[in-house]
Parts: sequence; structure tokens; C-alpha cells
Amino acid sequence: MLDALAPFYMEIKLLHILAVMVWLFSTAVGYQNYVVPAFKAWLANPDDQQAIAMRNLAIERFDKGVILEHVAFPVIMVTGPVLWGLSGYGAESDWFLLKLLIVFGVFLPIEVADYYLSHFGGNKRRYRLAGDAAEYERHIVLHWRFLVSVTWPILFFGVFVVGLAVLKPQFG
Amino acid sequence: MLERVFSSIGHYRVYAIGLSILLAVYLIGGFLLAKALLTDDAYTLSVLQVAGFSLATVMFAWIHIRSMKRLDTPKSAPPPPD
Repeated sequence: MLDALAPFYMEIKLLHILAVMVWLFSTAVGYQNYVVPAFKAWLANPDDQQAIAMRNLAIERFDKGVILEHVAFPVIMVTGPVLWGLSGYGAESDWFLLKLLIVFGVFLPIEVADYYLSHFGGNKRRYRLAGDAAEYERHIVLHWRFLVSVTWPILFFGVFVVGLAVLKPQFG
Repeated sequence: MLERVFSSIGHYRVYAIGLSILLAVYLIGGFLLAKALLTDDAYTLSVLQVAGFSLATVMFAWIHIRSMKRLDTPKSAPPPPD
């Protein structure tokens, strides 16, 4: 099968890079300009009904908007190994080894949690429609704790991985 | 389980330092182990590389603490304690 894909290496690489761009940046504007201000306003006035409503709207819309990122991630995880198989890079390439460690040890666990929080057991809209106010609130707070905890690691390692892929450094 | 993993307000330092050390051990240890198992090269870190990684780990933790505190700071209030 790899032989059949070999003539399309550059096209697969293009798809991979576009998916990485979407995965890295599709939530940035929504997060920075809607989710963060809404949660900060709620933290300042936790009993203010308008602040609570804005917070809830922001995170539910974020759950919906993150679908782009969550479509891009599987595209990355499929095209990546194909590129690996076609390119011949292996453990001798320091940058490649480090990149794989970051992808599977940092990004994958974060994305598993992210999928859960936005679409599966942690989806807030589901609890709102079911009228379960306690679970709704619990999952909103949990999602915020998650976002606070992973913002910097994602920012750092996201840019770092792109740097590794482009610059392809050897450390030894 | 997720609630245990992610830091609650006020435990930034412990969380960030623990996470940074875990990541450093995983990345450096994983890298060296993979090199030993998958290549013929015996890869050892130089003193400069160890110093560089240590500094990077400290910087990562420091920025992570600042990031979390900033995100958890209400619009018009001082940042929470560590």
C-alpha cells in the first residue's frame, strides 16, 4: 500500500501540514477572546447571572468549535505514519524521535481528555438539556481546570514540534 | 479521575514543577532509551546538554505557573497564591 501512496508523498505532506495548522490554531481566537474573558469575568463575579450565562455560552460554543481541531487531529495521526513509512526517517533522526515522543506522550493524552470534555462524557450541552444543573456546573469547572492546566504545554510543544519538523535538528 | 489530574486553584507550584519534571524525565529518558534500543549509537548527554535541559525544565515550570495564575485571575484582582 505504501508503494501506491509513494507518488503522492508531497500531497500527503500538504494535507498533514494543513491539518497541523488547523489543529494548532483553530481554537486560538475563540479561546483567547471568548472563553478566557468569560471565565475571568465569572471568577470576578461568581454569583452574577450574566457572567454565568456568558461563561456557559462561551464554553458550549467552544465545545462546538473544537470539532475542527478534533477532525484535524485524526488526519494528522493518519498522514503522519504514512509520511513516516514513505520518508524512511527513523530513530537515527533525533528530531523525529523527539517529535514522536511529544506526539504520543503529550498530545495524544491531552487530546483524549479533550475529546471526552467536549464531545463525550464531559459535553456540557448534554447536561443542560437533561436538566442536570450540578453535573453541568461540575463539567464546566472541570473543563476550565483542564484548559488552565494545558494551555502552556500545548502552546510550547505545539510550536516546538513544528520547529522540529521544519528544522530537523540532530543533537549529537 | 480528570479532576485529580488537573490542578485546582492554588496548587500551581506543585502541579507545574511535578509536570515539568515528569515531562523532562519522559522526553530525555524516552529519547535515550529509544536511541539505545533502536540504533547502534550509544547516546550520552554532554554536561552542556544536561545543563540546558535542566534550565529548560525550570523555565517551562516557571512559565506554566505564571500562565495558570494569569488564567485563574479574575478580571480585577491580584493573582492567587501558589
